[in-house]
Formats: sequence, C-alpha cells, structure tokens
Amino acid sequence: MGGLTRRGSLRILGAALLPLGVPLWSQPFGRGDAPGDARVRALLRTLTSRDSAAIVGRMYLSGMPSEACPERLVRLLCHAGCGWRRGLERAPAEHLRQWMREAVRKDFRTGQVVTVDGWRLSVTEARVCALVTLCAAPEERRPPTRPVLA
Amino acid sequence: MFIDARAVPSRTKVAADVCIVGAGPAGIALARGLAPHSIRVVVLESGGLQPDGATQELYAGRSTGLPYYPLASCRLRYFGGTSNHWAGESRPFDDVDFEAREGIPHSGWPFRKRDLLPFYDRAGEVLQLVAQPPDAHLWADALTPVLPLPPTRVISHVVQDSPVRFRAAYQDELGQAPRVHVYLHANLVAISTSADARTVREVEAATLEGNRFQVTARVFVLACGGIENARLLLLPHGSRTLGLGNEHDLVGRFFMEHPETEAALWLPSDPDLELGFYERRRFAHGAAWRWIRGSLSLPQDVVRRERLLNLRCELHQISQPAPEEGAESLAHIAGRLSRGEMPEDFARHLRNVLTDVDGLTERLRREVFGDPPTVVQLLHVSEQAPNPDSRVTLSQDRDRLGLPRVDLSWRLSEVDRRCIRRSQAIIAGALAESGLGRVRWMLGDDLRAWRVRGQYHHMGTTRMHTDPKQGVVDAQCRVHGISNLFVAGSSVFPTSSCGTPTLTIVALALRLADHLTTVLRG
Repeated sequence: MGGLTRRGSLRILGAALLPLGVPLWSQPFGRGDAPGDARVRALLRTLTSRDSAAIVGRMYLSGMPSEACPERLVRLLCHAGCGWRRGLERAPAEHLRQWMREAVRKDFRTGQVVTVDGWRLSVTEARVCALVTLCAAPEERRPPTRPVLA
Repeated sequence: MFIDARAVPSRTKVAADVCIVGAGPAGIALARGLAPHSIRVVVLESGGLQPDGATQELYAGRSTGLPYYPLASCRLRYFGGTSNHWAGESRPFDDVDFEAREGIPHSGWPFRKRDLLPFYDRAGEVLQLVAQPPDAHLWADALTPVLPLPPTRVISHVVQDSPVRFRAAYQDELGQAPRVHVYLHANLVAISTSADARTVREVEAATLEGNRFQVTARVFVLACGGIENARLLLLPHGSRTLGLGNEHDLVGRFFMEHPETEAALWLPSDPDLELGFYERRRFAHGAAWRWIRGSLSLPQDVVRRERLLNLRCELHQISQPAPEEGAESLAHIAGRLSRGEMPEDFARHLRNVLTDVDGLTERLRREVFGDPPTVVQLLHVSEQAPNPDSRVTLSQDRDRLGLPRVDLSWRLSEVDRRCIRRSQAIIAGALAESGLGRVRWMLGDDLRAWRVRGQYHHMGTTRMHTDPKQGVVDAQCRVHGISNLFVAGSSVFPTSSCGTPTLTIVALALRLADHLTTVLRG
C-alpha cells in the first residue's frame, strides 16, 4: 500500500466518521430553510477543510455547550470580532477569508482566545469550526478525489 | 606563580593583601584585576590544573527539592572552574533586571545597569566577545530573517557564544604574574575571626593529603560558586555556630536557577518558514569562530507592565512522526472516535484549519511526498522569582575533609508559575496575530506537574542588599558586619535575569577588583 498524504489521512478520518453516524451535520440549519442561512453558508466558505474544522469545532463545543446552537453562533460571530458588513455573505470567498483573517488577528490582539485541546485559538475561528460541526451538510463536503485506501 | 599546596608544610603561614578562595571565572577575573596594582594576591584553588575525581567529589550533596542534577557534576573543581566546559553563552542583564519590580518580591539591585556598563565592556574583553550590537535585526539577513512579530509585544534577541576556557586562556598569565600566588589542591576548611567576628584574621587551607596551612590577608574573598560560597559561610566558625554573615538567617536562602521547560508547541502556518536566525550558527571572527543564536523575548516595558519575570524563548524545530497509514490507522481512528476520544492527530486537523485561516497552502511536494508537518518547540527559559524557601543548607553528611555536605532544596513559587504562563500566552498571541500559526500549551495549571530543569546556574544564596536584614552582602559585595570579607560570583545576585550569569559574574568581579584596589591603596 502506498503512503498516503496528509490530506489523504484526513479522508481516512472522514471515512471513519461517516459509518459511525457521528451527528456532525444532523441539524437542519444550513440547508436553506432557516434565517441567517446565507451568512452561515458564507462563514462555511471561509474554510476548505471542513472535516478538520468539524473536529476542532466539536472539541470547542464540548467545552462550551451553551454555544451549541447555530443561531447563537451566527449572532456571536457577526457581532463580535470585526463585525459583519452588509452584503458580505455575497462577497467572493477571498473577501470572506480576509474578514476571517482580520477577525482572528483582532481576537489575538485583544485576548479573545480560547484553549481547545491545549491549542490557543481565536474565539472567531473556534466558533466557525463549531458552526461547521453543527451545520455543514455532507453534500457540502468535498468528495474524495481518489480512493481512501490506495 | 603556581604552588602545589600538597608540598606546603603544615602550620606554614602565608601572607597576602588579598586572599581569593576559588579560581573559576570570578576568582581569576578578580586576580587579574588586582595583579597590575602591586597587590599581593594568594589564590586558594581546591583542584589542580586538570580535573580529578577525588576533588570533584567534594562537591557531592543531597537534593531534596525539585529534581536536580547530581551536585558533584554541576561544577568543575579545578583551575578555571566550570568555564572549562561551559557553552560560552554571554548576554548582559537587562535594565529591568536591576529594578525593584512590582509583582516580583525581593527584586531590585543596589545599583542600576548603567553603573555596571563599564565593567560589562571589560568583562566582554575577558570573555573575548565580539562587540555585539544589541539589535537582533542587525544580525539578521535575507536568508535568516527575524520573525515578523509585533515589536511592542514580542522581540527577537541575540546572544553570543564565546566559550573561553579560563584555564587555557589565563594559566600562563597568572603563572607569570609576580605578585599572584595560586595554591593548587588547597581547600578552605576554616575561617578565623576576631572575637567580635567583625574581622577575618586568617583562613585555614587543607589538602586531601592531610597537610594544613594558614593564610593571613587584609582582605578575603570567597569566589567558589553559588552553592559553595553559601556552604563555606554556613560552616560553624568558632563561636559563630550559625556561620558568618548569617545573623538574619539569609545565607543559603534565595537559591535561584534558570528554570527551563518545554512550555508549548508552535504549529507554523507555513511549514517552510525560515527559522535559521533562531538556530545556533557560527561566524568568523579573525582566525576564530564565534556563535550566535536568536531567541524570543518580551520588551522590557511589557515585563514591567505585566509584572513578569524576564524570559527568553528558544525555538527548536522538530517534526511530528509520520502518521501511521492504511487500514490499521483507519481502525485506530474509528475506534478512538467511537469511544468519544480525540484521534491523536488533532494537530494535523488544526493545521488544515489554520492554513485556511491564514491563507497559506502547503507546497505540492508535501502533498506528493507526505512530509510530516513542522512543529516548533518553544523552550521557555525564565528568570526565577527570588524565593527564601529555595535554599542551600548543611546536611549531616561530611566530606573527606570533615566538612558538612550541602542539602539543596530548589523550589519554584506561584510567581514563577504565573509569569511563565502569562509570558507564553503573550508569545502565543503574537505568533497567531502575525499569521504565523498557533501554539499549544504543554504546561497545565499545576506547577508540580511541569517538567522543569535547571541550566546549571546557581545564584542568589548570598544575595546583595544594602539592608543587612535583606541581604548577606552590601552593594560592594562585602559581607554585612564583617569589615574584610567579600563574596564574588553569582551567589550575590539578588535576581537572576534570564541570561547566562558568567558575563555578569566577571563584570562584578572586575568591579570588586577596582573597589579593593582603591581600599587597599587607602
């Protein structure tokens, strides 16, 4: 068996999650039928490795169960950090990532930091990961581009 | 001139102006400083010109505090002392190190750094340092840049290594100095004082072969290292059963090290980030080589404002082990998750998130070859908070000369725990704010669970203070209450900074040489 790349290992992990039925995307929020849905989708677009984000998010939520609510997370994300500019949800992905980068840096500058499994993370990035955990639908995940086990 | 004390007949009386006990960096620097001034100097050195086991064993003792190295191997007991195998890292203390700081009990020196600057310059010559610009950016270049961190929060520092061996460098010079007599294999075993114990009259030296002789002098200086200086003062001397200079039970207390601990792991956003500035690298200096190494530090106003201990943070690049691949790995990860446990490669996932957040991507070759991610260990080296409960005492055991051995109880305090945690939080925040990655704590809340090591630096046991109730020696390193007994070396440091002590030890020895020259010329 050939060696797998780092991202290949992630696919293994993703494949491991699915058969276990881990409810990472069991809530309907984010499927197009809830208020704030556009902002959720926009926030999710700031990440490309959603499997990884879901893992980080789950760790965050285990320590912050009061935030295990998509509406609350969106509200916190859009009112803290750098704030949410009108129309940002329709902006190109790079604009969203720039918003994310600025929010993260501001968090670290102002001490808005959480510890997740020992890692010092900005509150904003941890909450976006939590949003992935709660909202990312399986169809939004990138399909494997090659077999999990080569 | 070198004299083998084993050949000196017992009951011989040796006379001098200054008797220096110990021929390490402090003692040798002091003797060199006195030599040009027609002052008769006797140096008593326990060892010879080469190491030997029996003499080295005189350093043995117990350690009952934090885990510590065997005391017999911490220092070298022969001419040149521990400089004969040191790494040579030299860095002057910072201004803040000399200040009485809020939040750091017992901090503050009796003088400021600027008072010591002329002696730092001369000490640099003794240690053969290259004149060193303090600005790390002047040492950086395009291939080895400093990290782009916010300078108001974290700065890069540079230290120079110049491992001068004092035996090799100064043996000939002292051997030819007409008024300097170095007695080898001569151990101080007793200090005799006047009846009121305000003046030292003579000291007794003994060899392992059994002969004993006395040295009379106008001035006596203990220069035996941070543990041994305290031990010699703690010995019962005549009617002074608590030792000399110990009226306020301070001798041996405030033992300090430079606590070193693997505080955190840094996961850089860019695995190819250039960190060469923070590795030890050499440069040509004439026909010789010197080394420099960068480290991270906090600006002094941050240290003051946040009430922190001084620190330096070394970066050591490591690699995570390659992930276990294949079906076994899949089963492992699935098993961990089904039990509600995190897979062990959480850091790998975190890197994925961070590379997205920071807008960086790993290079194609890493995709192809699957290189393990780069991880950088943040090695935190801290000043230690002065702590009276961290101390050297005498034990019941005795050495071959019949003297009590030492019992070292090295202890850290809540101040150390708070400062190390807060400093690491500042560094972690600065790295993340700069888009350089994220940091993982390796230190829990319980200080007792930290894996802390020392750096073989022994300081503080005869601390300097103008008030006899707060210090063993005064601002001139004279033992309070005794007119002609002085102490040289790191045992007089009231605080320890975060850098290596040797440059400051030598600077203080040269300062003491100037003072004694003035006093003796009267």
